[in-house]
Amino acid sequence: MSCENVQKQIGLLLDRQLDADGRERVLAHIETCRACAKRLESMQGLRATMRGMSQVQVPPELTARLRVSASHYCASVERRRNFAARMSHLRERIRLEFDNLMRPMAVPVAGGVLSSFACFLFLVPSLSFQHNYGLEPPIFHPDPAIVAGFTDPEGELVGATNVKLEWGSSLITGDEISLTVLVDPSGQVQDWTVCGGELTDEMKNLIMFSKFIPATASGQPTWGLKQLVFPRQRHLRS
Amino acid sequence: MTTSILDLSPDRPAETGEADDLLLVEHLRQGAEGAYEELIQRFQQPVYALALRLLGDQGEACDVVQEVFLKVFRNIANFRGQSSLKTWMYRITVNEAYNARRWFFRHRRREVELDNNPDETRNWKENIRDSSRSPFDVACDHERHVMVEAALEKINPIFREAVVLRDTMDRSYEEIAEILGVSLGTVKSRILRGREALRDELANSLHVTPAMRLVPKTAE
Repeated sequence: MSCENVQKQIGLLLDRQLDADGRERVLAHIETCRACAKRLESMQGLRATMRGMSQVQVPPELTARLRVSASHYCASVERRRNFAARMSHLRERIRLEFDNLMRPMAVPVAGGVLSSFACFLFLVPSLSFQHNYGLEPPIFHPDPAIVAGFTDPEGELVGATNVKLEWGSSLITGDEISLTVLVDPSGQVQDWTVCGGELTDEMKNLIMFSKFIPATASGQPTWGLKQLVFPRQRHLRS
Repeated sequence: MTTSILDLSPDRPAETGEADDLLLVEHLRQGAEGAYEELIQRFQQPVYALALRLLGDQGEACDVVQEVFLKVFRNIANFRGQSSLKTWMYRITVNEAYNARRWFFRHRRREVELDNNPDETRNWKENIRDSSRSPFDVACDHERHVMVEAALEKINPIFREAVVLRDTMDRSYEEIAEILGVSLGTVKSRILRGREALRDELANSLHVTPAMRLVPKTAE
């Protein structure tokens, strides 16, 4: 056999594609021919190198991609099985789309609500009405109508015997005892100032046990001053 | 001299997983979720290795492997079992690699690759080598692989397919004929010519002129 023929058959020899007769002939030639033996050796080395090249490691991202593809395909197969599965998938899809649609709005909406709440907290004190935090009661002149106590059917305060409390004014006449009462938010007289005479015990009782409609400020009961009089002719005895 | 021939690896044992393959195919047809995972676990490595050797590019190989598995998922109902599952998948891989190569030559020939050293971008776990061998052996193997890969890329793709399937993927001549859809004689011819071309390319790459020649001299 010529070297050219043997070298062509070395590949078949290595791949075990030669019959026994052909194999014997090639091996016999190789034993006597250094060049062909060298060719056989180099071919074996090349084959070993190429065999080692199959040991490549699969990139982890490829495995992940394949799993995602399999999952998608599996889901699509499941979806095609029956009408209920298809509807269920459609519902899930709509819910997912809605969530995805709302998600970009969640942060701005939450931020808007929080910022408006903070603004409200900061602005409320400056928007409220003027307050009087002093100890002095407000001097209003509302109508502290008398609602309970020693009242007669005409709405006048009647004492136990012969004293009568009437609404007064800043104009004081000589036949009456004028007084200014301080009415608290509950309608009780807390203090008074008398001008033009002295009060009897009966008058004092009448004042202290009477109940008034308190003055109001912004709809809320508050302290108030009221001018009252006792007609003098009723207590001539005193 | 002949002792090296006697050391030839014995005939490849028959594929023992054919029954498993049929069972796997049946489960895939039924749409069992675990079957897809098993298919991936069992075949991703050989399919990726084949695609990588045919294309010589990691990114392209990953795309091709994904396409191969998608085609397998879609067409598993049409798999009639005339060949083994692995042979069928190899055939799809070879076809997809051919399509990718054709697409590459049409569209991406002029693109410039920025990352030409994939080792730098790989995870450190992927770069761990076998620690039981000496660094010299590992380096030699690596160099040899790089040279063979470069030579493979230069030979005709028709021959490359046959040589890679035979020498790298360890397929029999009959299986290669089935995968490539050609006759047995054509397979033999392609393997022979492919190996010759590969050998020539390697011989050319080793013929480098030394930059400096050292001449021994005796001390005077």
